[in-house]
Amino acid sequence: MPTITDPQVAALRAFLVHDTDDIAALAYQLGENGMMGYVRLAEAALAVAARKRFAPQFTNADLVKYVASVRVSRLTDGDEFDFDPVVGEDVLRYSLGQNVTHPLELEPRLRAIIALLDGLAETELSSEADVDELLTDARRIADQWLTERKPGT
Amino acid sequence: MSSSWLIDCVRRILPAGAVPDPAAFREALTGQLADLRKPRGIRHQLASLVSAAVGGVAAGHGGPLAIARAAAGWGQEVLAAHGYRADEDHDQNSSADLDAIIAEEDKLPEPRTRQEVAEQEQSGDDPLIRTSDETSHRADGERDAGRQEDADRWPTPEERAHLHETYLDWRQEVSAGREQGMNVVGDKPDRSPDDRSDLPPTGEELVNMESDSMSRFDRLRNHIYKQADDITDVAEKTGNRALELWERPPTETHTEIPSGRPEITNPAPPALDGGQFVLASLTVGMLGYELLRAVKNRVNTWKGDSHGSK
Amino acid sequence: MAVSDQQVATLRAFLEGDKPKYNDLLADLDRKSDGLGYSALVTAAFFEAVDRRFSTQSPRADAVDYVADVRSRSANAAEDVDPRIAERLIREVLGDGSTDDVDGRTSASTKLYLLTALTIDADLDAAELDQFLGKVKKMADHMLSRG
Repeated sequence: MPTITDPQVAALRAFLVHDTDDIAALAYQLGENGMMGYVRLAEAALAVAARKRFAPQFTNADLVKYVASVRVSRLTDGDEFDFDPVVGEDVLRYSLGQNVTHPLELEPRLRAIIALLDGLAETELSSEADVDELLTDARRIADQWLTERKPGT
Repeated sequence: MSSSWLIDCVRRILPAGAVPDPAAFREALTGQLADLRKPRGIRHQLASLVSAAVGGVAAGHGGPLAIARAAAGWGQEVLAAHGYRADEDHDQNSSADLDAIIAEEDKLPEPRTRQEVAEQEQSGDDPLIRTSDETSHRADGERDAGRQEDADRWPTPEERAHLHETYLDWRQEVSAGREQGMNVVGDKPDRSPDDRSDLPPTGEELVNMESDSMSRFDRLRNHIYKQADDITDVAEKTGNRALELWERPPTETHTEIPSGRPEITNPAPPALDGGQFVLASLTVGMLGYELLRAVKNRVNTWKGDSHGSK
Repeated sequence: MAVSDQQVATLRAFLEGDKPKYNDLLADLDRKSDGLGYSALVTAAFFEAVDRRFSTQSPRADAVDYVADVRSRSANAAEDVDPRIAERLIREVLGDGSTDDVDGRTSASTKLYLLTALTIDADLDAAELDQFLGKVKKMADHMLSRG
């Protein structure tokens, strides 16, 4: 059964800490086959960070406003860093354990995952220890997801 | 700070004939001076005015108008080093007017220090509070007395040596890292003198705002036509839903985050559509953009840090 | 062609948040003969409300923040308002970009939501609302007279 690998964790760590030297190299090393696991790991990390951010309870308004705040923080860097806010809200919803039944297009979904994870990392991870803990939890969750599903999903 | 007081300070601090590099001096002043002038009508940055004043005093000019007259004859490069745009400052025709003004200035008393002003105010002997008849008499006497006092208060040779040493240290500090003869005239100020974005609009701008508003509204003309067929229907359906916004605060549903281990309570996300190649390409592409953003932010942080440490 | 008093009265009731009165007056508007005039009035009101609330110097961030704020006010607003279209409509008023690709129905619907929120936030008294509607009517008449 496919599980999360050390290179995938290393690549995500480089992303979370903005290790600009390593992000590109590590992502390249993963290759096509490794990307699926990497994205699942990123979603698992997003789930852990989102739970931390929105615990113990949240409203729809909280999600709407949070997505807007992440978008605003990225707008100064350029339009290419923006993402679809409705997709962003759905990504947060399923990250927080809610059911999202309508299909999400791949590209806007990936944009939202990357942007929201980056935004949450900024506020929720203040030390190396926080990063380590997040990655440990995320790896465990992603492994669980991967073993539950058929290969390739 | 009046120009006369400043000129007096410069004479005291800088050794006779000493003049700091104008561009470096102006750069050092930028951000250090509080400009209390009203925004309207400001033509020159305060740092530029102070820089020119210092240069003028070093060249032996005695008052602000004498300095201004001398500056009118300065070359383009010198003016640029002091932060002036040559085309607006090199007005030869103004020299004649300046002569008349300078002649008037010669009748005025010598500049006083703040201490002198305070002492004279306390004693009630403020030379400026006089009738107009006494003013010109007084101005001559004041000038003579002022000059004598001035000579008495000039730094001793030891003080001058110390001041000169301090000045040389300052020169070394601002020149650190700069090669001899390096051109600094091209350095751009943080903010252009034309940048009026934080100032209230002028009268002309106000008139233009109104016509700007109408021209923007005109561009919405097609909205009217494309909405016309559906507007009454939309007004009924959406209008009524929109009116619910008046019913505030809204009653929001709070969703609890399940406690317990997330790998148990968090269902797996929806399946990722698209083949592995598409997924890989998109992810790498997006990570590439994020890499650029991280680098850009790091550079901006570095720039902010190095600017703040000056 | 000019905006009618009936159309102005309908918009006034809408901007006052008077649902019963609004629906009564709206029922008397005819889809064909009143559509253009009412559309011009709503568009002018939206323009003026946005123009007053936002500065043309405002960055895009203001539009993103405001639309998120409006959408967070009710579940219907979050569902009915497409945030990107709403942001683009605001920016178009401020002279940035266009919404030519947005259909009339969506455009009108989004404008009504934003207009409601902007009016609530402006908290106009009766005299201010009169002044607002007076100006908006003139703007709409001007637009209609140009054909």
